[in-house]
Amino acid sequence: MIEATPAARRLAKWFLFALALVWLVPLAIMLSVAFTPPHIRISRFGGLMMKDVSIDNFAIVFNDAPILVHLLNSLVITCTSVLFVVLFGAMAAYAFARLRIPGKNVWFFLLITTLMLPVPTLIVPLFMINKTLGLLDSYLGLILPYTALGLPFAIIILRSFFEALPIELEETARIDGVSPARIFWFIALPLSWPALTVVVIFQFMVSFNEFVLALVTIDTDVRKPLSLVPLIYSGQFFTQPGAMFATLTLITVPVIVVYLAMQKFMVGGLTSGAVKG
Amino acid sequence: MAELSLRHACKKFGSVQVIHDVDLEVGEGEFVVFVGPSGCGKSTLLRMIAGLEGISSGQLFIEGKEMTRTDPAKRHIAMVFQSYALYPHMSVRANLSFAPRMTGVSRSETEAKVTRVAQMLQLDNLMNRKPAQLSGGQRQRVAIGRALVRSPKVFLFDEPLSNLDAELRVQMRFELAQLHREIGKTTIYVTHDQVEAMTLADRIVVLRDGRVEQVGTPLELYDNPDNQFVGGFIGSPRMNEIEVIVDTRDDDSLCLILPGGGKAIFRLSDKSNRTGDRITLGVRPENFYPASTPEDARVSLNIEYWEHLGGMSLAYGVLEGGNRAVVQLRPDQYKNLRQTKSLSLNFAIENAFLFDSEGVRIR
Ligand SMILES: Nc1ncnc2c1ncn2[C@@H]1O[C@H](COP(=O)(O)OP(=O)(O)O)[C@@H](O)[C@H]1O
Ligand SMILES: [Mg+2]
Repeated sequence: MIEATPAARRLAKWFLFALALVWLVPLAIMLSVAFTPPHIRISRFGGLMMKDVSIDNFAIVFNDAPILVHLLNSLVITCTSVLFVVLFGAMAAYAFARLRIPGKNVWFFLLITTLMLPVPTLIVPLFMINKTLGLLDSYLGLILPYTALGLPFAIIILRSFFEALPIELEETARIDGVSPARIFWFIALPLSWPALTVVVIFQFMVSFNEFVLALVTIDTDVRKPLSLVPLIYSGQFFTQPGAMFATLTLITVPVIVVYLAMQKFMVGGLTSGAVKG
Repeated sequence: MAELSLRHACKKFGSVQVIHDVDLEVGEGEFVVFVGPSGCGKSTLLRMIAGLEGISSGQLFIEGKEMTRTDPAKRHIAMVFQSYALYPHMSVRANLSFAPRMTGVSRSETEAKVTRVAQMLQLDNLMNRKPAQLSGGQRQRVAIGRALVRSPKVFLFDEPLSNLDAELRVQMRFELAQLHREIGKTTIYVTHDQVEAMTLADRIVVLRDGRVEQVGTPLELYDNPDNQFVGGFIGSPRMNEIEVIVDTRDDDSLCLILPGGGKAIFRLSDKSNRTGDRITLGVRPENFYPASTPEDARVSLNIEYWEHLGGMSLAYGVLEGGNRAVVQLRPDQYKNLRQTKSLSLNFAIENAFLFDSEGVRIR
């Protein structure tokens, strides 16, 4: 830990405060417009100077668009990909961390390089693959690519976490005759909550908000995820900025809920008491 | 029949050999302690027995069956680590019952075993706690309990007490000794602490740089070390190592010139002519005693400081000739000597050892 002087700490605090403010401005605009009554014209400061508050915009959105259907689509696609990423990511990461596999580091390097590809370059190939496999316009057409794209990050995070777990825990179990699969499931995995939480939040956020691949993959309106809603209904909502921003607000809610729900698991120190005192 | 034996066991990490040709027989129910300075390969040797490290060459037998390449799970051993290695997310009860449940022991049988072990180690009241809520000594007991539940053929301990404070260490040492008397299981115990080794062991294996220096009961090693390393390592305060010169050699004895010019004659069966050699005389601190008359004195010690431990007093200083030395005296002996700066000392020849320049005992 670096010791900062009080002056430096105060400076850092103000700097972070200013940064947070800049970051929050768009969010604040979104919320204020969404909660401004539909008949009031948005004027100065992008609507930040609110004169009145109402939830009429949300009523319009729920009346005019099957928001809950889209939410359900999003949840099915996102949660399945989160589940796959956690499950397969953890298994692969554990293998990388603990098993003796020939060429392990080459495989790992390849995995890291996939993180360096910009996602837009993958859209066309992914579209072609989906088309060949007949997955266009289906949930799987998004679930599988999201899983594949999320795995490298998950594996990198989880591998380093597994490697940092005290090896004696696993050695004790091994001597005691517990099979490697069970050691993974009952010891390594439960102790990895902090890392798994990071993976869940990250994967949820990325999949839930993904736009371009969803746009080219899903054609039928009722199967489209929430992230496409502003686009689908842009015609209807264009003249009603309030309704548009209410939609955007609704889209951000699930991610925030997941983040807050998972955050409490993100504490470290889960292994305290395992070794030494 | 030996319960466990190692034949010519070697271990290499890459090109570095850390265990050299270890031969060892451990009898059934025996308590064997591996002792040696840090980094000498004690843990590695123990982990080779456990199967956590491969054996590069040589063989391991447990109950007469070769187990050199056997999976750790099938060796019927249990190991207690220095770090305890308790499963932090499980209660004490779950820690104790985890391995039996995972290996297909029935729920009721597991329950019975866990209850019995918990009673034996006084863990009954802690069963629902997590490891983080236990003291160091309690964690240690849970770790031992987890090993006991499995009823293994051989217990392995790797420095199990070194994370405890001094008082608790003595208490747990006593409890371990008692436990071994009760259950009588073959045990191999690793420590760098020679006091622990002396108090617990039926037999001690002294290791240095991956080689066995000597194997024997605590008193054999103490009274009859094979070499200077064992002589110095076993015993506290440490054996004094004094440089002497061989003056003359008779048929069956060696006459030495001690620092300060005194002479001492040792009867030996060793026949080599060492006239003029510099060799090492080993005398334990408690084997020195104050000379009663000037003629009786063999060496003299310039005292630098005293340490008083109640039951004994230790005089630290420099011998004539420059070797540092420590002498252990009774408090009543100290009372007569407290003003003395230079202490005239004698020792019994039969309680002293001679080591050649290689450190090998001359008998
Ligand atoms: N996995 C390993 N790879 C390479 N060298 C090792 C490994 N484990 C131990 N060593 C080396 O082997 C020697 C003995 O180590 P160890 O058995 O842990 O000693 P001790 O337990 O007696 O303190 C040390 O020099 C150590 O550096
Ligand atoms: Mg060690």
